Amino acid sequence: MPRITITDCRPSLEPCTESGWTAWDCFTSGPLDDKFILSLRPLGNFTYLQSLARPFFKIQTDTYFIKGVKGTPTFRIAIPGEERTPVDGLIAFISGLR
Amino acid sequence: MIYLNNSATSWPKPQCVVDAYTACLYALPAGQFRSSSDEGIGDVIDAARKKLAALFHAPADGRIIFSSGATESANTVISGLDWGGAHIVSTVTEHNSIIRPLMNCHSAAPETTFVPCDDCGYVSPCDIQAALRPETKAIIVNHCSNVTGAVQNIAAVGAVAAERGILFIVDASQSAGCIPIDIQAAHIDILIFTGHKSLLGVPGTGGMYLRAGIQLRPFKFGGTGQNSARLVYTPDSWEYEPGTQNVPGIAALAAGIDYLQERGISLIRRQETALITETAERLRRIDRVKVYAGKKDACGPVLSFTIAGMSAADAGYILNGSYDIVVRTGLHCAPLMHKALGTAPGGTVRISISDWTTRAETDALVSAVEDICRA
Repeated sequence: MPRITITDCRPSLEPCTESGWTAWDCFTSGPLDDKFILSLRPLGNFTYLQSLARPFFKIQTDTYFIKGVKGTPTFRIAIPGEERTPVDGLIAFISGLR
Repeated sequence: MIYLNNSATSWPKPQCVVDAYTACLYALPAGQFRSSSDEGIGDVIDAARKKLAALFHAPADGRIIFSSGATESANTVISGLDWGGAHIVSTVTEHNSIIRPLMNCHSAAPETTFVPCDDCGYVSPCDIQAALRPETKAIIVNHCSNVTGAVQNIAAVGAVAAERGILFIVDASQSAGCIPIDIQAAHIDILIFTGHKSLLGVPGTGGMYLRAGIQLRPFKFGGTGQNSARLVYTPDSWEYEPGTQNVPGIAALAAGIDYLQERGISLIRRQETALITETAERLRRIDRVKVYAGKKDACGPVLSFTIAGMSAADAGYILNGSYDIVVRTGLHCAPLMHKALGTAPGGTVRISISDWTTRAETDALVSAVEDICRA
């Protein structure tokens, strides 16, 4: 399987949906798989609800969270402020994880 | 995909709405006094006014004014009335389309008392009456909550307003088209509505009913296609529909009303009430779920819920991403209500059904919530 890469990251179309957090939607080169999802575990408090119709994961810290659904080519990063720099930092970090 | 976000905008639309919109685009432009042609759809705007007046049981001398939606109508009303230091009574159930104009009014912002609601979202008419002062000039009430679906007793509030000679303004954004409204029986002076929710029209349409004799200073001026030589208005000549009107949208709105009248709003309400109250009951039986919903005898097609130990945003994300169910999460532009319900700052998961929502779709929602709560 080719390595999943992050191809784009845009402000979420639903800017108020994360209640106080600024959400960015990241797009990937393919559907998220277990290898990609589990590689994110070191980034924070990791939740993985595998019994759902399509498993949901979330990594939560005080300064950001990352969440997504297995099998979809997208995941969300949210931060407290509106600056993009921390998001770019996270994307770079995630890209170098595997 | 299962669409349970009809309180944001209804979908799908009836075929007659799609056809009316399309026919309008194909037809020779006409109407609103701007064209040398009187062929085709020249009477579409007046016909739509008449249909809305009939739908809302408006008195013959009242005016139906079109706008881009409830937000523009609310701004026209709140910025257009001469408050002069007056007091307003409203409710915590209001949408930001009312709250923000009240709190950011260009003229002297009126002091507003926001009357609280109970755990289901109901506001007591007695509490509204108790909040009135000698200088109270208006009562503004959201007919149907866009958070819990609670339908307020506007007839009782209207009677109080009429007795005291206070303007009664009703925001019918969530109720117009799915709950019968009788302007005369409820003593409504101004009714604000949007076209793209239960009236089944398209976004960018809506309007208001104004009782005869009410003067609002417009905040928009421009071409109206009438008396172009007049440059300065006097209060008795104010006009409220400047600029080219959204004729295709108004034609679609009229078609939506035709659909509703043919099908029967009372029937739609019965079916939607049965489905939403049953869904509320089934959600209540799930461990970790708390439901915020209206009561069977006074509810609209909306309810909210939370899941203990999970943010509303995550629950909505899962419903969408893992189960293909579209819902709305957060504060739903009703921050005072969420504060009153104790659901701020994260808000709730909201589901809102329409005439097209099926039992199979609400079954899928309940099953998905069960899955989430077990996970």
